[in-house]
Amino acid sequence: MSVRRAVVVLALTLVTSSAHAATPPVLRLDLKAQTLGGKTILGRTTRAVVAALGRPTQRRQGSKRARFSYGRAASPSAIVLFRREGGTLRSWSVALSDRRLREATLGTLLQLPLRRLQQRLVAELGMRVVRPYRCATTCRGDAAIPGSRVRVGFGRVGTRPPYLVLYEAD
Amino acid sequence: MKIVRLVIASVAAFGALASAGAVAATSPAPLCVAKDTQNLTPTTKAPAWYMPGVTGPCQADSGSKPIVEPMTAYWVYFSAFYPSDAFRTVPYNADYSARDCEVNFRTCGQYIISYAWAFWYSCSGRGLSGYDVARNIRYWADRARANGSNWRVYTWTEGGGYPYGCAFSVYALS
Repeated sequence: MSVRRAVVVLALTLVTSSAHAATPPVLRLDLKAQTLGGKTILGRTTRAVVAALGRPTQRRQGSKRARFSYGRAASPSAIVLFRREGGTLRSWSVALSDRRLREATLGTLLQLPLRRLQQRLVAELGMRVVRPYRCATTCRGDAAIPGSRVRVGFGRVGTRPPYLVLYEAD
Repeated sequence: MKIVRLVIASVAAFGALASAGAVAATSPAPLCVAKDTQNLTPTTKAPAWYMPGVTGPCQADSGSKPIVEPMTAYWVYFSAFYPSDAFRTVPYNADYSARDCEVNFRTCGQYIISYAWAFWYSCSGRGLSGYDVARNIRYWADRARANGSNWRVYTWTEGGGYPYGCAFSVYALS
């Protein structure tokens, strides 16, 4: 009997631990501070991004551009893009598409209807809409963070889940 | 007076013939892909009348074919549409990429935007098949050929480099 119980406990432990391994952690974004997981994420070197977010699950690095992907290969929860600036690769964009993403003010913003998200970016974070959200060949909107060169793009590709991209615009 | 009238009629007839390719989108039997440097609106799908390998450019540039037959080459990254990422190539390399997409939709984007997954994810998310994408690339390659040797096929991402747009067009190198 006790052997059977031990087997059940072991099986449950394995199931639980493999579930944890398969599910990436919830990322915490702060649009006002422009941080991810409490760390500045744009304008950073590849090494600094690894220090902030950990080792990427996929990494592609050339001399002029690089890309780090986090989470599952089939549906990354974060993609960080780098470009060469002054001889160094620096992050200029981070795309986020995990619906569990939690923003400091707006909460789980990727679970909001995207027009509602646009309204809340303006009303609660004081952002300026530079490209109103609309759906043509793709659904997309862009807003600028006041006093900064950083923009927030948000949208949806066809049937895919919504995304948010934080990027330097100049 | 008769001569003047004849000249006007000839010019009108020539004009109608010359624009046949351009109006092919609405014509039941399009002749070819016409030179058109004005309407460059990007598309995710080729027009219904376009048949790859059949509907060729009306006036192909003689220098548009490579001397040798190389394998697919990577498209060139350029920043003309910053803060979007853009990628361009010559028409014959676009044709090779089109063939790649017909063969393996999940990997062909590696040569086009250096990111096979994003290419497949974005294009298939728009309901496009590898065949649709290939046909569209071939159409724009023919548009580039029709326009002249300095024209290139290009594609790009949304602002911030994400997501990939899966639309193509042509532009002239200055």
